[in-house]
Amino acid sequence: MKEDNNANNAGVGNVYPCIYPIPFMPQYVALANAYVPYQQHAKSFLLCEALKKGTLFPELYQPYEVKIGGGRHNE
Amino acid sequence: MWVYEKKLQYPVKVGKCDMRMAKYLYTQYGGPDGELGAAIRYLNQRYTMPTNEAKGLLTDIGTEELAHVEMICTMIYQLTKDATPQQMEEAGLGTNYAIRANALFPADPNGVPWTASYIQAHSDPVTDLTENMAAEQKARAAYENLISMTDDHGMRDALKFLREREVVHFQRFGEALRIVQEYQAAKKIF
Ligand SMILES: [Fe+2]
Repeated sequence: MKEDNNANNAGVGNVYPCIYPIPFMPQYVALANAYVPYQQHAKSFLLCEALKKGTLFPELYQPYEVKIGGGRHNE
Repeated sequence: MWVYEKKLQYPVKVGKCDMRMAKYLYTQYGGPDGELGAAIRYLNQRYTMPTNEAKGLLTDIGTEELAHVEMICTMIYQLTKDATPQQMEEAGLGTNYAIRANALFPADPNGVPWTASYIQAHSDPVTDLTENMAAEQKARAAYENLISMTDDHGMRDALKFLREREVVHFQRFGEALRIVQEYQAAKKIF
């Protein structure tokens, strides 16, 4: 994923517009804080595919692989 | 204000043959990490969020969780609507039948009613958003448990959709937390 900080988040109407855009990861990190990468440019699935998958964004599509032995008939 | 659409967020078609799943699905209706708790948690927390994004996000996700409640209820109903008392008993829902026949109820699989004790609100946005991120992970894990318990194709399909939504919600709450962190840092400077 690219770290382009100018793509989104105009922050229109917000109390502190100066905090935008939010970078992919924070410039300064502090202990005892949790950080999730901020999604930047989004590629997208076709809409019909997005509905099936549960997300519009390929980078957020993280399907669960059922463990071997999962499913009651596979025991 | 809400606008209701008379359709499910994602189509649900579960086979009748896996009725025991009806009982287990209850964890995502009225269980500790279920969709009802999620909806109430977010819709209740949103008032004290400091930024417009966080308020809006909690409204959006809280609303979507209500649509998930509807999906889970539809699955339970499809499985149990024509069940005889004996079939209910065999599916572990004999106590449900004794109390309320084939009706649904916001409870966990053991019949323990949903309670607001499953949720919290602090008005500290970092605290609340961190609770919500944990809630999304717990719901994701619960869906993985449920997916592992059934071979029914329609059921798995719907559960996988709902699980993926939890992944997306975690990401969005994480982004809201990032905005709040930046906001709080900016407030200290200006
Ligand atoms: Fe969720």
